[in-house]
Amino acid sequence: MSPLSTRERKLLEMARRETDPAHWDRFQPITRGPVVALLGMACLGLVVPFYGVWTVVMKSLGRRS
Amino acid sequence: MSTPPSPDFDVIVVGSGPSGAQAAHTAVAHGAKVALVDVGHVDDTYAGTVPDRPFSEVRRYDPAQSRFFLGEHLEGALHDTRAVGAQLTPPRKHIIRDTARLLPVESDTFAPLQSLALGGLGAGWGAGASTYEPAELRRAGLPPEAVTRYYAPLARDIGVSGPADDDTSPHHAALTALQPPLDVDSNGEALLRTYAAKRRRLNTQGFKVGRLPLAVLSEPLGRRQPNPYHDMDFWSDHRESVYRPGLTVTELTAQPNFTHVNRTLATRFSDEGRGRVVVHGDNVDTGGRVTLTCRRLVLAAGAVNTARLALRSLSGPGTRVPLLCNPYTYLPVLNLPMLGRPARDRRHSFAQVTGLLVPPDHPEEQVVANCFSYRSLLLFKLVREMPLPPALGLQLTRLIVTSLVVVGIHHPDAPSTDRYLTLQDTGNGGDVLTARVARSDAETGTERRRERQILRHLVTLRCLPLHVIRLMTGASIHYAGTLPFADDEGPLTCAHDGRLRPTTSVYVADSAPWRFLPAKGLTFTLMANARRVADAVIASLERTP
Repeated sequence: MSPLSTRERKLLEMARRETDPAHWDRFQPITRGPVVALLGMACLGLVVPFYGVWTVVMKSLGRRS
Repeated sequence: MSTPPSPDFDVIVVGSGPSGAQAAHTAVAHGAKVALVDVGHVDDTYAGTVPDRPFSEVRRYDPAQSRFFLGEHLEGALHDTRAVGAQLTPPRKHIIRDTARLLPVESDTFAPLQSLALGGLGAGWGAGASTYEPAELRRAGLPPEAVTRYYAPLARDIGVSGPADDDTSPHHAALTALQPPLDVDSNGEALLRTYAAKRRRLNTQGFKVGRLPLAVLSEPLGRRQPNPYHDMDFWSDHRESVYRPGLTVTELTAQPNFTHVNRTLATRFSDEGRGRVVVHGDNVDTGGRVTLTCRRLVLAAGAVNTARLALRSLSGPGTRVPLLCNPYTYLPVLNLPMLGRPARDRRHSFAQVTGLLVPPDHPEEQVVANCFSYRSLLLFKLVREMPLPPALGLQLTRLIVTSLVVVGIHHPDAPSTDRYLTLQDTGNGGDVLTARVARSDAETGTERRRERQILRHLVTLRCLPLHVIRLMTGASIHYAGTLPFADDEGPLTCAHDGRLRPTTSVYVADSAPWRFLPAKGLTFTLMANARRVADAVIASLERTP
């Protein structure tokens, strides 16, 4: 089996926490109404393009080094 | 000249999936001496470890939950989400155990889900119990009246719950003997409310919404209990509220005229004429050879593996047989009326609502859109699919999960020279099925056009599509058409009673003979047709003992 990427390791750790009752509340739905949900999505929506550009830049730098 | 000894059995059925279990049930009920041959894997790892409690309680209190949610070897956490069987939870992974080794298929364009489990793919099916309308049955080559008369007794026996009447009812054969419908969850309620307000507009565009009949109990049936709305249906079969073919096989083992030849992979057969068929197989544990004889053989190993057996036994390498498989697309959508609102924990895990797109020019080419809420499959799997750092992805998932609906779109499939199976020698005494599955530009264009129509209708239903995910052919788990019904006597075709040509005593009870695969789930009609074929087998035994 090939070694896990950093992202896969983080996701595996998240899966372990999600199935641990001690972290139960951190995986519950956020249900504070549609306004909060839309604001949250809008904020995260700003992050997506930034993260995409950041990933491309880092990969490009990684290839050069 | 010596007379061969009497056959061991009147009827041997190969396969314990939905068709095999129903064919065996029917033959046993007629008093025939029946053997059912299958490998019959069961879950011997997680059975008994999943508590009979609601998902929300398990998540909050069970300290041992990671064992079955993630799997002992983290098989539920570490996988390619688009691989064959990726959708199966660890307690269901036994469904595909050994299939890559014992049922090899080589193809870059077709990845079937096959099973050697007790109950076959029915050990994990979504319990959709759609019926086909006469036009669909006729196009498939199935005699409408002869098949539909089996629907009601089958529904009564296995337990099907659903609405007596809704907007999708005119597009199904009428189904009586239904239990009351199961309760819909919060997402389903919101969808149905929006549909009620937009119904006329959607109907004029050929889109109808209703409830999918489900082979899930809403009332007790024998020792089986109603669904407890624990939302644990992907993880366990507590109370046996969901019909699984393995239940029928287990019940049959109490009958004196039934033998379960378990742990055996049927590998070939030979029809020796005069009502004598020899079935060869291998014991999967010991490797020992198994040889059984019968008067009639019923193949119910699934369209792909029934074709493998027929090609190996009757034809040899290189012969092509056609293949049908529903193209399948799924899309996550946000059900906006539910955004940011709490959803009830009390729910079942199956399709809550179904949509039907009925093309006016080809009404039998309906496209089906089944709507599932995403809740009990854990959040980290959604986070994996997001182009965000995991921590941010988790927050986004928590914001949207109560309004998240996964829509599974099934298209119909018809024969094409671009889709076929071939058995090839591997050179070491073995063989492998190879498959080519290609879709023409015209077919793809039609499918894309109908998907766009469904997307528009979903927007009308206040559902915001997030992404369109197209899987490799085979992911729909619906296969057919490999040994098609035909009026002439051509080899590797079936007569309308299911008899496989050129044999005189071998019948096919699964979907291998169907010449058309409607988009609606095939399993309920598979079972009804298997009963019909088994009746024809018994009638043939009575004609020529």
